[in-house]
Amino acid sequence: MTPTRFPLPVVADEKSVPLSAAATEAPLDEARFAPERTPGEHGYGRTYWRTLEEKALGPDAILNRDREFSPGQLDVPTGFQRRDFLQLMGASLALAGITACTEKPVERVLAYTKTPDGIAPGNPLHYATASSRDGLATGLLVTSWEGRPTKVEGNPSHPGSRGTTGPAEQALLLQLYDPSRARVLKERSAGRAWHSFRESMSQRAAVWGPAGGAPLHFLVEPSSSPTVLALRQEILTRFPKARIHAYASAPRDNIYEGTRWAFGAPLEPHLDTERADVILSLDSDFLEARSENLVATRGFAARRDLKSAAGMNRLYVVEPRLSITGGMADHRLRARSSDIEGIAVAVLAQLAKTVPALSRFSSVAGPALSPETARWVKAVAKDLAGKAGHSLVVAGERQSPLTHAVAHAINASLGNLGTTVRFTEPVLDTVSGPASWQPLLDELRAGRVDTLVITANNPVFSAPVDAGLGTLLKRVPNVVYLGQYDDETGLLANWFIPAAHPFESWGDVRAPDGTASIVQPLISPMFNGLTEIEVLQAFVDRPELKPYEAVRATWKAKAAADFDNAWETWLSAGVVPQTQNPFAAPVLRADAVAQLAAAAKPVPAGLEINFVTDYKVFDGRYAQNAWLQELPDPVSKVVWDNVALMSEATAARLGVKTYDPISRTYDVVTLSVEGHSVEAPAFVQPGCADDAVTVQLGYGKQIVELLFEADRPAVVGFNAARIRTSTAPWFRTGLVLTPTDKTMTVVTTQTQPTAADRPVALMQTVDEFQKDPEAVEHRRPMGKLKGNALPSVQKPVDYSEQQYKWGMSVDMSRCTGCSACVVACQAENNIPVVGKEQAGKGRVMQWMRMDRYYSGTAEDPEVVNQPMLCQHCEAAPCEYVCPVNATVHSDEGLNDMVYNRCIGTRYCSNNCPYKIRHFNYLHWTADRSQVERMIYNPDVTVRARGVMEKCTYCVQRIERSRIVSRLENRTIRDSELLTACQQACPSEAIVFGSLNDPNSRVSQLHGDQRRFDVLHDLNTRPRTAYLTKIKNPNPELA
Amino acid sequence: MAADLAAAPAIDGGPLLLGKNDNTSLTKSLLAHVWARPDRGWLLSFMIALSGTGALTLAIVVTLARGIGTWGNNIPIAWGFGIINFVWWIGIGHAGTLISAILFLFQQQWRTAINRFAEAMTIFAVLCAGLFPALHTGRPWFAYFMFPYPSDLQMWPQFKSPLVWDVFAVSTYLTVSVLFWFVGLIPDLATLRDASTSTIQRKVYGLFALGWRGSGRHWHNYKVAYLLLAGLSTPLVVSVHTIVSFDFAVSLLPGWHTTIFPPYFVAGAIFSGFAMVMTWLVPARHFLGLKHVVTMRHLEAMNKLILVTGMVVSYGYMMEHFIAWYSGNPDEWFVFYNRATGPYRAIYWLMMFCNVLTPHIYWFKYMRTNIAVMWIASILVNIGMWCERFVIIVTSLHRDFLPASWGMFHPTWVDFTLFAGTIGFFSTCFLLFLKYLPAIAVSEVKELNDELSHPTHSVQVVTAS
Repeated sequence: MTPTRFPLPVVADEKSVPLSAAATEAPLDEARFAPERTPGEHGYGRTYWRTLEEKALGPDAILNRDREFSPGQLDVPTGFQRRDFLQLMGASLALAGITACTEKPVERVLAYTKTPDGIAPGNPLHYATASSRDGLATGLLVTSWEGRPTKVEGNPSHPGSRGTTGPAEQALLLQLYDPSRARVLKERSAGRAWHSFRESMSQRAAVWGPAGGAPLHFLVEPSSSPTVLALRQEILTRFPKARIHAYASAPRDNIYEGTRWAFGAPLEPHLDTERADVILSLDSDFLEARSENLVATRGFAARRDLKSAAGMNRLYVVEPRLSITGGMADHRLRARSSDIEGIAVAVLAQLAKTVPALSRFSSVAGPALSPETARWVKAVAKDLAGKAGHSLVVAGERQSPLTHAVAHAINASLGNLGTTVRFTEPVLDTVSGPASWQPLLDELRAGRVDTLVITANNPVFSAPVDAGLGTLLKRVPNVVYLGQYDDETGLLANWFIPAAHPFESWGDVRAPDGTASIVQPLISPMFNGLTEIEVLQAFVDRPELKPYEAVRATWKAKAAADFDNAWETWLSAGVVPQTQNPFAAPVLRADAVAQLAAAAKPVPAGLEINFVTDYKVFDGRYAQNAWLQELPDPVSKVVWDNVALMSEATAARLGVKTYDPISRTYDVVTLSVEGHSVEAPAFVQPGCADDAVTVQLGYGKQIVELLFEADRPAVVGFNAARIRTSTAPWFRTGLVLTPTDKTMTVVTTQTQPTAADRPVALMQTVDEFQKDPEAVEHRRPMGKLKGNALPSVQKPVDYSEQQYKWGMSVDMSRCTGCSACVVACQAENNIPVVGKEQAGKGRVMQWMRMDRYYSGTAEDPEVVNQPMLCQHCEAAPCEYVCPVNATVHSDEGLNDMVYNRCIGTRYCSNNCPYKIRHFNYLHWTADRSQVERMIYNPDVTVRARGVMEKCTYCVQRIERSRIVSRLENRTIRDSELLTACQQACPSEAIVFGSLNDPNSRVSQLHGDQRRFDVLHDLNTRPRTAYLTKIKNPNPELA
Repeated sequence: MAADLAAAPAIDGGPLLLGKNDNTSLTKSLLAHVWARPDRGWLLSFMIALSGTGALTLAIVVTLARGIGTWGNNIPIAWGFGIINFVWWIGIGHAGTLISAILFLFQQQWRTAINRFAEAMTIFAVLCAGLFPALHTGRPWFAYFMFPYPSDLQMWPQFKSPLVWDVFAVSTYLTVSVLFWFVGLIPDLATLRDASTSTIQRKVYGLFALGWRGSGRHWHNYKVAYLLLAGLSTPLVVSVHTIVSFDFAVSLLPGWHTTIFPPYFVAGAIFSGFAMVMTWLVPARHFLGLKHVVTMRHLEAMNKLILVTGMVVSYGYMMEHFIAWYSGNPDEWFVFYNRATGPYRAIYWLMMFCNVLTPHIYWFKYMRTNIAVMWIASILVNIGMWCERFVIIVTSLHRDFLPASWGMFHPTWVDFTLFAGTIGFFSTCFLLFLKYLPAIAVSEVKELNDELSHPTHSVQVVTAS
C-alpha cells in the first residue's frame, strides 16, 4: 500500500512496543524526508543502504538523481491507510450511482490533475485566509500560482490588516517551504501513523476516565478559534477534571488585568489613533508592525500628515530602550521600565491637580521625580488635558496592570473612551502568562500528570528559566507535542506530531475585535503536518472530523439558512460578517484605581533587565526564518543576532567597551539574574535609559542555517529566557552585569549611525516648516527644481508624451521604519538571503534598505527613517558607465536591469550615489532544493551569480496591470497598481503611480511642499521623491 | 647637431659604455648569459617565481569556480584589489614604451642600454594587468560582450562607458608594445641564430629572426619600421593611462570625479614604471654582467626621471586636495579628510611617504649613485604607487554620498594570492626573458659604440627626412 519506490525496512525502536497492528503497517515513507545529513537520527537507529551507490554516496545520491517526483508528490495524505482506502473505495462504489446528487469529496485540497474552472495557467489567483500569532488574526490574501502560494498580502477587508502586513506575515511563506520543518509523526523516535496516536490516546483515556481526566493536562497556545474553543469544551465535558492552560511567552495578561482593575472585567482595547490629537505611550510599542498594531499604525500615520484635516498629532513616549514607536515620538523620555509605573501615576496626579474631571484622584500623590521628568510630566499632562476627548494614553503589554489601570483612568476621565479608545470583549484566553501555567507546574512537581498535551509554541525553549519545564517534562509519562519543528520541546515529548503550516490547514480565527475568518489552506500539507483541531479531537470520544469538516460544522451551527453560499462568500472575502464583538461601555472604578495608584511604591535604583519580543523572530517562533533573521533590526540594524542593548553611560559605568571597529567585535558580558546567567554581546544603543539593559527574546536556538555553503547547525544569538523568571517576565531590577574577556562578531548593516551633517534625510518641526517651507536648502518644490535645473551633459528626455511616467514618493513623516516593506520586497522579487558571514562582508541583497539616521544627542537621539531603494533617476549615473548596455532606461522612465546582458563589472554600483545596487557575489541560490524553489515568484527572474540587481519598481506588477488594462481597453487606474513595498506598508508611506497623470496621488505628492529629492544637487533627477519628516514638538518642552 | 649629441655624454654625466669595446666583445659579453647554463641563482629565482604563478593559477581557479565573492569586494566597495592591481600593472607597463619610443624620438642615447629591458617589462606588466579586467567581472565567460563583435542580437558595447575605451586602449597598447619589442629584437635574434651551437636553437631563433641577413635594405626597412612604431607608441604612452584614469574621472564619485586625473595618472604611471625598471635593472646588471653597458650614468638618469615624475605626482596630489577644498563641495572635501584621518589613514600616509618624500632623496648625487639606496627607493615607490591606487579606489568608495551605505573593505586570501601571483607570473616571464633573449639591445649598443667612437658619422639616425 505504501507507494514508496524504495521501501525502507521498518525497524521499530526496541523499547517501543507496538500498540496496535496498525503501527507496524504505518506509511513509513515519511522517513525519506528525515533530515538526510543525520542518518539514523530519526529512530532507525542505524543507517541502511540499498545499493552500493547509495552506500558510497549516501541516500542523497539516489534522491538527487531521481528528481522525477518532487518531494511530497509521492505521498498520500497522512492517515490514508489501507483501511481508509477500503472504506473510501466502498463508499465510492456505493455512491457511484448517485453522483449526480452528491457533493464533491470532503477533502477540498485536491491534487492538481485537472485544471479547475477559472484558472488560466500563468495567471495567479489570490485566496483569502488568515494567520494568527497567539490567537489574534491577521487577514491575508495569498497569491497562488496553479496551487503554489508565492506571496502574502494583507486582506483589505479584514479589520486586523486593512490590506497591510508586518514583516512576520510576509515571511510566513518561507516557513511553509522550509525543508527543516518536522515531517514525521513519532513516538519517542519511531515513526508512527496518525492512527496509532489516536489509538494510543484512546487506550490511555481508560486510565484518565475514572479520575475524571485529572491526570490529563493541556498546555495550549491562546486561541480565539471557535472550533478549537468548542473542542476544548468537549474535552472538558468528557474529562471534567482535565485542565487546559494557555501558554504565551509574550502574554497579554497585563492588558486584561489592567482593564479588570480599571473596569472590573477583562476587555480588549482598540486604539483609534486617527482620532487622537495627543498620544502618551507608556512603554507601548504600538507602532511595531505586529498584526494587532497595523490599524493603529495606519491611523497614527494619517495624522502625521500636515494636510490631514484634523491637524498633526503629537506623540509622547516613555520607554527603557529606543523602540520603533520611540523613534516616531515628538518627545521621548528615557526611563527604566520599573519607573514607568511611577511616571504614569505622576501624570495622573498632575492631571488630578489641574483638571476638575480628575479631582477624584487628588489622593494620588505620585512619586518624587527629577526636575526634568517633573517638567516633562507637567507638559504632557497639560497637553493631554488640553485635548480632552481626543487624547490617548496607552500602556504597553510589558507594563504592570496598575500602569494600564492608570492609563484607562486618564482616558476615561478625559472623555477619550469611545473616541480614541474603545473596548470589546476579549476573543481569547485572558490569562496565558505565569498565572495560567503555574498550577500546571505544581501538578507536574507533584507528579500528578499522566499526559500533557502541548500545542503551544515550544514552551521548553521560551518559558522562564525558573519554571524548569524541561526537567519537569522528563517526569511525565506521556507528553504529546504538536510543533512545526522538532525543537527543544519536541525532544522531550514522547509523541511528536508535526504541525501543519497555517497555509496548509483549515481553521478559524478571530481578530482582536472579534471578526472571524476562515483559515483555508493554499496547499495540501507538504510535510504531513497536522493541526491543533486534529490533535484535540484525539481526546474526544467521537469519530474524527477532518479539520475542514470540523470548521464547517462549527460554522454551520452558527449560520442562518443557505450555509453553503454563505461559506463560499466567507472564504472568498476572508471574513465572516457580523462577527465582531459590540463595543462595551465600561465604567471606571475610579476609587479602586485611585487607591491602588496612591499605594504605588517607587522601585529602588539598580540595574534593570528588560525582556522584549524581537521585531523579527518574536519569541523565537520565527527563528528558523532566514528572511526575518536577515532583516536588519528596525532600530539597531543588527542581523542574525540578539544583543544586550544599553546606554553609553551604563556601558561606561560597568566597564563595558563599546564596539571595536578594527576587529569588528563586541564585548561579551555575563548577565545574571537570581543565579541564572547568560552571556550576551553588549551593544551600545543610543536612546536607552541608563541602568536598563534590554534583551530580545527568541534567540539562542540551534537552527539550521539554510544558506549558501553554510548548511550546518548554528546557534543564533543567546536565549534570554534563561535569565527570565516567571515572577517578572518582562523586567526586573537586580541584574548583575559582568564583563568577560570574550568578544564576538555582531553584524549590523548600517555602520554609520548619523547622517554626518549631510542633508540626506530631512527633518523639520512644524513651526520651522510653516515659517519657511523652503528654509532647508536642499528641498526645492517641484516648479523651482525645474527652473533651477543644473546644467547636464545628458539631454533631458521628454516623457510627457508617454502614457505613463512611473514615479514614487516616500513620506518620511509617516514611515515608522518597521521594515515590512523590506521583507515584502524580498518575497516579491525572489531576493536571496546571504547569511551572517556574508552580511558582515556587506553583501546583503535586500533591494529595499531602511536607512536610519540619528540626530541630537546619543542619550536622546531623534530618529529619521529613510527607505532607500532604486531612485530610477532620469539621468541615471549607472547607465552611462555600463560597458554592455545591461542597465538601460525604458520609455516610461524605469531604470531596467537586463540580467542576461550583465557581465558584472559593478561599475554601475560604484557610480550609483545611492548605493542601492546589489551584486550576486556568490551563487546565493545554488543548492536550493525543489521545495525551497517553490517559493519563487515566476514573474521575476532568479538571478545568477555575477550579475547586478536592484529595485525594478516591481516592473512585473506594472506589466500585469498593463495587460489587464489593455484587455479592458482603458489605462491603468491610479492605485490599482501597487508595488510590493507599498502594498505591505502599514503606514501608507509609499505611493507609486504615473507622474503623467496630474491627479494621481504620486503626482500630488511630488508637488507637495515637503517634497525633496535625495542628492538633488547631483542632478540625477530621481523619480523617487521624499517628503520631509515633520515633527510636532510641544513648545513648552523645547 | 650630431656633434652636439655625441658630445652630450661628456656634459651630461659619466660614460655610456665602460671599457674598450668592439663589436665582437660586445656581442660576446651581452649574449653570454643566453649561452651559459642557468646558474643556481637563476634556477632558485625561477622556482620561486614559478610557484607564484602556481598560486596565481589557484587563485584564478577559485575565483572562476566560486565567484567574486571569494574576494573582499562588497557593496559599496565593488572594486577592490582587482582594479587596484590592474591600474598598478598598467602603470608599470608605461616605462617601457616611454623609454623606447619617446626617448628614441628625442634621441636620448642612454636609452639603448635599457630599452629592451623596459619594453619586455611593459609587455609582461600589461599581460598581468590584462588578467584583472576579465577576471574581476562577475561572469568572465561573457567578457566578450565588451567587444564590438557581430552578434545575432545586434547588440554593441555601450560606447559611452570608459570600460569599453579601456578595452581598446589596453589591447592596442599591448599589440603595439609587442610589435615594437619584437621588431627591435629581430637583428639580435639573427645574431643569436648565427651564434647558435645547436640545431634547435638555430631553428627557433632563426624562425623568429624572420630571415634577417643584415643587408642594407634590411637595415633601411628596419629603421623605418622602428621609427614608425616609435611614432605610433608615443601617443599611446599618454593615451592608455589617460583612458584608465577616465574609469574614475568619468564617474560622479567624490575622489574620482576630477579633471586632473589624466595627466596625474600618466605621471604616476611613468613614475611607477621607472621605479619597477630600477627594481629589476639593479640586480640584473649585476648578475648578468652588464655593468659595462648599463653604467652608473644610466642609473643616475633614471633616478633623475623618478625625481621629476615624483614631483609631478606630488603636484597632482596637491592640486587634488586644493580643488577639493576650493570647490566648496563638502562631499569632495570629506573624501580627502577621510583619506587622511579615516580608517584607511595608514595606507594614505604610507602613500604620501613613499611617493612624495622618497623621490626627494634624488636631489643628492650620493643618493642617485648609491646602488642600495636606489634599489630600496624604487621598491618604496612601487609600494607607494600601489597604495595610491588603493587610496583612490577603496577610500573613495567606502564612504560616499549616503552615510547609511558606508562600508569597509577587508581583502581575503584570494585577493592577496592574486596580487602576489601576478608578481610571480611577471617574474617568471621576466626570468625567462633574461635567460633566453638578449636583455640588452645588442645591435643598438654596437651602433652606439660606433657612434661614440666616430662622432661625425652619427648623422644617419632617424632625423634624415
